[in-house]
This record gives sequence, structure tokens and C-alpha cells, in this order.
Amino acid sequence: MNTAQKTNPEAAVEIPGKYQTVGHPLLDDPKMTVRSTSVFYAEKQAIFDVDLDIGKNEVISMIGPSGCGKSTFLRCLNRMNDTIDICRVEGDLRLDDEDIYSKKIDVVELRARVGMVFQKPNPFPKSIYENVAYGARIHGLTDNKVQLDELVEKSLVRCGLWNEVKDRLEEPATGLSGGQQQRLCIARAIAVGPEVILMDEPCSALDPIATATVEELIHELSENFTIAIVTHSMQQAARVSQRTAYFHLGKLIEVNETSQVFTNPEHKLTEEYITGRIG
Amino acid sequence: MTEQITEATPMKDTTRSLREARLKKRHAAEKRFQWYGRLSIAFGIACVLFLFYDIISKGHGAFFQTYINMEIEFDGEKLGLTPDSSEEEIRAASFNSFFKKTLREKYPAAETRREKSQLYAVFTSDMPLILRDMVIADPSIIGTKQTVSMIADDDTDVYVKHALGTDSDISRMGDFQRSIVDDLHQRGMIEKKFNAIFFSNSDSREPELAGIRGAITGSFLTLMVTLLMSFPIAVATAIYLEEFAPTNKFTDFIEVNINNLAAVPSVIFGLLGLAVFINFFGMPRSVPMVGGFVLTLMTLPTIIISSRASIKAVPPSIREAAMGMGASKVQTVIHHVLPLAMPGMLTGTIIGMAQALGETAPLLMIGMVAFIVDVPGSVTDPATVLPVQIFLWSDSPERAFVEKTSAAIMVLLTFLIIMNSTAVWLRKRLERRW
Repeated sequence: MNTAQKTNPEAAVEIPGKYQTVGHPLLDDPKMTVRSTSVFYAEKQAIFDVDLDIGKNEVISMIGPSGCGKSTFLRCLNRMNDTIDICRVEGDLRLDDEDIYSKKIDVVELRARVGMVFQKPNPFPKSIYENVAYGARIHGLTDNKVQLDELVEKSLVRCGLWNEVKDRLEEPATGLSGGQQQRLCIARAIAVGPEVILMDEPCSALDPIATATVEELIHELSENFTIAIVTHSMQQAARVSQRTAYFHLGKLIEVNETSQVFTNPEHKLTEEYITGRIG
Repeated sequence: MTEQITEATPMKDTTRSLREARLKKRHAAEKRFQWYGRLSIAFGIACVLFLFYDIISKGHGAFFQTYINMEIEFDGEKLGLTPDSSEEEIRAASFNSFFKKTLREKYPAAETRREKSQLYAVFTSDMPLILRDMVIADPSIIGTKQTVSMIADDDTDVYVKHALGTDSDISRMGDFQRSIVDDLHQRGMIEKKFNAIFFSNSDSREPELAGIRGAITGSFLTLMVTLLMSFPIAVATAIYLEEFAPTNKFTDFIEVNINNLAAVPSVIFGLLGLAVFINFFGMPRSVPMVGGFVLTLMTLPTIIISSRASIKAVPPSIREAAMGMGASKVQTVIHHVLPLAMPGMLTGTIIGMAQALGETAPLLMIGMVAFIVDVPGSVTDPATVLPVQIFLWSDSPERAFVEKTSAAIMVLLTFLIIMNSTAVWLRKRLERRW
């Protein structure tokens, strides 16, 4: 924390240890609320006291230089950080007013409601069909094969993958191209019927054409889902998201409408980042 | 030398010639090193070839057995039997004296006691019993003449295989016995056939009747116990340690100990088995069950270590994918990690089993070194195993056991090669299923 302040004396720090996020981090009718959230890896603090709301059916992108904690923050939202032994999350995180870190919450159920798509396409080494059907199987969403088939088809159609793979559903998913694999991972995530989808740099391993397809898909999905996307590409953030959050060294510096962040950033650090002076 | 180069003398030509001289040396060193490698590989191959040559040249004879085809008249009078005699009557009849009498009639030259006993010793001592079993199986042969393929005694066998027609005296046979064998040979009555006895009989004091069936069955039963015990325990341990156990001093301690156990001499596991299973739990000696338990202790570290390695090799992205879908930890492990780690686990298991198959020392400790004639029917019957059988035979004074020993080694090596190739094949086959 101290190092953070030393290296960035210009960071917006009002009281020692407390800083103010500029812009509009809070919303009226949010889907998820994050209050006073800090994350520690053993003794090292990775996220400092973040307050942020994620609105219903919005796409919010999180940008910032490498190691700024944006992925860590994202992984708090469906408790993927639980899998890391030394990771500790403090604060109040709510999904529809339910504390997701309370003892009453079953993390299995939470992850069904808050799905996730990872940086590198990571289909299971099973068939395309099995990949999409897996979530439905473990959560018991369908009663019979017909319903399952329908669900798989519906999910693949929504991801624009159906026409490409309908003739080879039983073939291994790892035989697909990178972009197809990533769309398959998205289809797999939406097959469970989540409310929020977290995407951790979903296009960083894809070529520009595949990236465009996935961005198009994100845009379509935002009609029904709340999407939080971490990205390295500012162009991508500008293209897909309505709101943008800028993280810097574990602090949430600025949250605003995407157009405003990229045209008229309020904070000096945001401006330096988007103009390429840091990052 | 290097200093001279780094000093970067202004005279470029000197630096260059220095570098070139150095380069030659470096190339020479590289060549030399390659040759060291080639030589050591050649040495290794030569050793293996010598071993195989030695074993095969000594042992191949054991796959053939000398038989003597002789016409025998099952004279009802001599036997005191008729074709209608009951089985009990046949069992009571003295086939021993019948057999000896028949032989004496064929070779009246045998006059002295010594000569007579040498005559009988041409054939295996079990011959009267074999004749009796023939009659029991088919009483109608009483009163007829039958050509019987009679098993030669081990001394006859060794003589026929190695010394026939030569002057060398390698068998323990007397002159008279040798003359009989020579005579049988001249009359074309001696025949070498595939040695089915070697595979259908168990251990015996008579080399010509000794086989490996009991030992193979014992090895099979022992390995089954080992497999059934060690695979589930090892896989469960590996999964727990890799996926569930917290990282703390205690799990570190367990890990260090597992690695140490893999290096403990196997005879110590035998002593442990003796103390725990036999003395404390009062289990019987010499049985495959206890042998299997002891070998389980021995193979556990091997399987655990390879299983952990193959679990570690499963990419974390697969775990994240499953967890991100809302799979529980157990579901993640069972649905995704385990199937991907299975080939590696199976390979480790097969290699552990191959190790267990070749193990002798711990089994000596728990009494599996006993002389056992019966084929074990269950894991609680006294049994011996293939390597112990080899050990026992290699200790026997009869010359015929030398080739039996080598033959049993060949059988054991065949099993080991099959198991290890299966492991390699499995790994290749399953490693990337998709």
C-alpha cells in the first residue's frame, strides 16, 4: 500500500489509506454491488477498498495496466479466488442483495448464476456436445435427452456456433479453432442460464477476426445477461461496453460511461493510460 | 584463454585465430562427448545381449523333454487285474513291481541289483503312477499292448540333450544306464517333445516333473491382491494430496515420507509384513494374501508418486473451467482431472506391478519360499511365486534344474516385457485421447 502511494504520488488519495474513486461507480438499481472490498494474497494486498456497482444487462469493462488487479477483482465476483489457498477477500459483495460471501451461499449455486469465460479457451477434452451439456448435467437442468439436446442447440445457436458444428457435435472440442473454442466456452457458460457472465480477457488469445466475432457475440448477449469483461484492449472496451472501470495498482481510479472515459477522462491516471503514457 | 578474448585486443587477426583454435577444441570436445555416450549405450546393449544369450542358451532346452516310446504289455496276470476291475482294485494293484518286471524282461542284461536300479532310473520315478493313471482312465487297455511315451529321468534327459554320441561325461549316470540309453537311442525310441509338463506341473523334487504352474498361479494371485489393494489406496492418496490437502508442514512431512518409502529396500517391507500381518494379526504364512499386502506396501509409493505427477500434469485451465461452471471440487476431480490423469496412473500402476512381480526378498521373509507342490486355489493357500521359484531352483544341485532356472527366468522376463510394453502402449494410446 505504501509502495503504491510512493510510486504514484498523484493517485487520488484524500485520507491516508483511503482514496476516492472518481466518476460514477454506484448505480440506482444494480445487479451486483461491491462495497469496501479488499483482496489479499497472503500478506500482499492486491485490491484496495473498491466500491462498484454492476448494472442490470450492462456490459462493464475493466481496464488497466498488467497486475492492476482487474482479473483478481473479477474472480471475486464468482468466488473463483476461493480456489487459491492464500487468497483472502474482505468486504461486502452482493448479487441481487444476497451476500455472496456469506456462509449460507453455496458456491456451486453462485457459479451457476455468475458464469465465467477465461482468457485462454479451455474446452474440456470431450466432445463439443458434452462441453455444452456438462453444466446442465451437473446442475440437473434437464430431465431427458430431448431437453438436453434442445438446450445444447439453443446455446450453440445463441453463440453463432451451431451452423459451424452441428454436423460434428460428437467430435472433440479441442479440434475447433481458437475462436470457435472460445465461443464454445461462452455457449457452455450460458447453457447453465447464468445471470451474470464474467469474461477474463476473452479475446487475448484470438486473432482479430475471431475477436470481432466474439465481440459481436458479447454485444448480442448483453440483451439478456449482465457482463463484466476484463480486457487489455482499450478499443475492445470502447466497442463492447457501456461503462468502463479503470484500475490502477489495485485501486479503482475511475468509473464512467465508456464514451466519457475514452474521450474525456476525469482522472489524470486514466488519461495517461488511455493516451498510452502508462500501461 | 577466455580472458584473452574478452580483453578484445585491437589486433583483430589474433583474436580470430585464437577463436578458431578454441573452436577446434570445442568441436573436438563435443565429438568426444558424443562418443562417450555412444560407448556407454553400446556397453549397455552388449550387457543385455549377453544376458539374453546366456539365459536363452541355457534355458531353451527346458522347453523340451526327452520321452522314451516303449511298448508295454498291460498283462492282466502280472497286474492281477481284468478290464472289469474297479478303480479301487486298480489303485491297490502294484504297478511298481509290474513296471520293474516289464523293464527287466526288456533288458535281461540287468542282473545285479546295481544294474537293475540303473535300469529303472532311466525313467522318471513317477512312471508306475503314470501307468496306473492310464489304466484308471481306460481299464480296457488291460491285456493289450500299448506304446507308452514315457518320461525320461532328468539324468537321462541331460545325457540325451548334451552328451549323446560324445565322450563327455556330464551326467551322473552309471555305465550300464548309459548303455541302455544309447541302445534306446539306436533303436529310435527316444524322442524330444515340447515340455508341456513345465507349464502344467508345480514344483517337484524331480526336475523332469517340476513345472512353473504353481508359481505362476501364486504370482498371479499375489499380484491380484497387490493390484486390488494398492491401486485404490494410491489413487485416493494421490488425489487427496494433490487436490484437497492443505499445504502445511504435515502434508510436506507426508510427501517427504512417501518419497523416502520409495527408496526403502524391499526386504524391509518383508520384515514389516512378518511383524505386522503374520505376528500381530496372525495371518497364515506363505499365502498370496500376505504376499500381496507386503507388495502393496512396497508398490504404494511408486504408484502414488506417478499418480501425483500425472494429476499435476492436468492443466489447471481444465479445473478452472469446471469450477467456473459450478462443478464442485469432487465433480471437478472425478469428471475431469481423473480421466485425464488416468493413463499416467495406469502406467505407474503397471510399472509398480512389474516391480512387484519380480520381487523376491520380501516374500522370503513371509515364508513364500516353501516347497509347495500343489497349485494354489485361493489367496489363502500356501503358494510360491515365480521369482522365488527361480531362487529355489537356482539353489538345487540337480543339473537339470540349471536349465529349468533359466527357462523360468525367460518366462518371468516375458511377463515383465509384456507388462512394460503394455504400459508404454497404454501411455501412447490414452495420453491424448482427443
